[in-house]
Amino acid sequence: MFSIFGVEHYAAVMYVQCVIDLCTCLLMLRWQGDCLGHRPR
Amino acid sequence: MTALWLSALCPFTAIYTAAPLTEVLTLFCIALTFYALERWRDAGMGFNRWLWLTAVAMAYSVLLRPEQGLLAATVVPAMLWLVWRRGKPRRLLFAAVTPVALAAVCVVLPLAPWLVRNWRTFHVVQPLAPRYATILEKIVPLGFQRW
Repeated sequence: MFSIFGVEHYAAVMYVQCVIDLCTCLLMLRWQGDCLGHRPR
Repeated sequence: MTALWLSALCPFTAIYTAAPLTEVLTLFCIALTFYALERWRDAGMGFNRWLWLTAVAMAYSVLLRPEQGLLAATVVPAMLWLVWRRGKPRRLLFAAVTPVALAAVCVVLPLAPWLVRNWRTFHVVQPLAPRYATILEKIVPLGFQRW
């Protein structure tokens, strides 16, 4: 990450982590949809 | 949508997005493991892409944080239980358990280079970081930590 955005550019890391965290949220949404037997719209 | 909002607004996970730590990726791996596990169960619990995705998510999680061995320690028995619960005849049970065994091997496999390296360098069997994340022969301030 630092090799792409530059050393000590922590803001870029934070933005990427926000995207990963949102992907985690979407995965949890899909997972609970599977568990409850319906797909989220 | 409730699950999405609950997970997005959970302060225990959201707080880590502001710090360059391994927690965000670890949480992603945990969610991916359970999602892939559910899909693997739906797909018939055989050799399929969901099995490998579960294994890769668990293995990467262990590489990110050593305590994530607990994730594999819970998911692999759950996979065995799912296979066992299907009630296959005993002679077919071995074939049914094989995907789970291979997934377990895939989780341990990335730790092998560290195991060899620590054995060759320090002469100790230590595939993961030690409990208190200290170097060998260093005194652990247990009293301070308990306090």
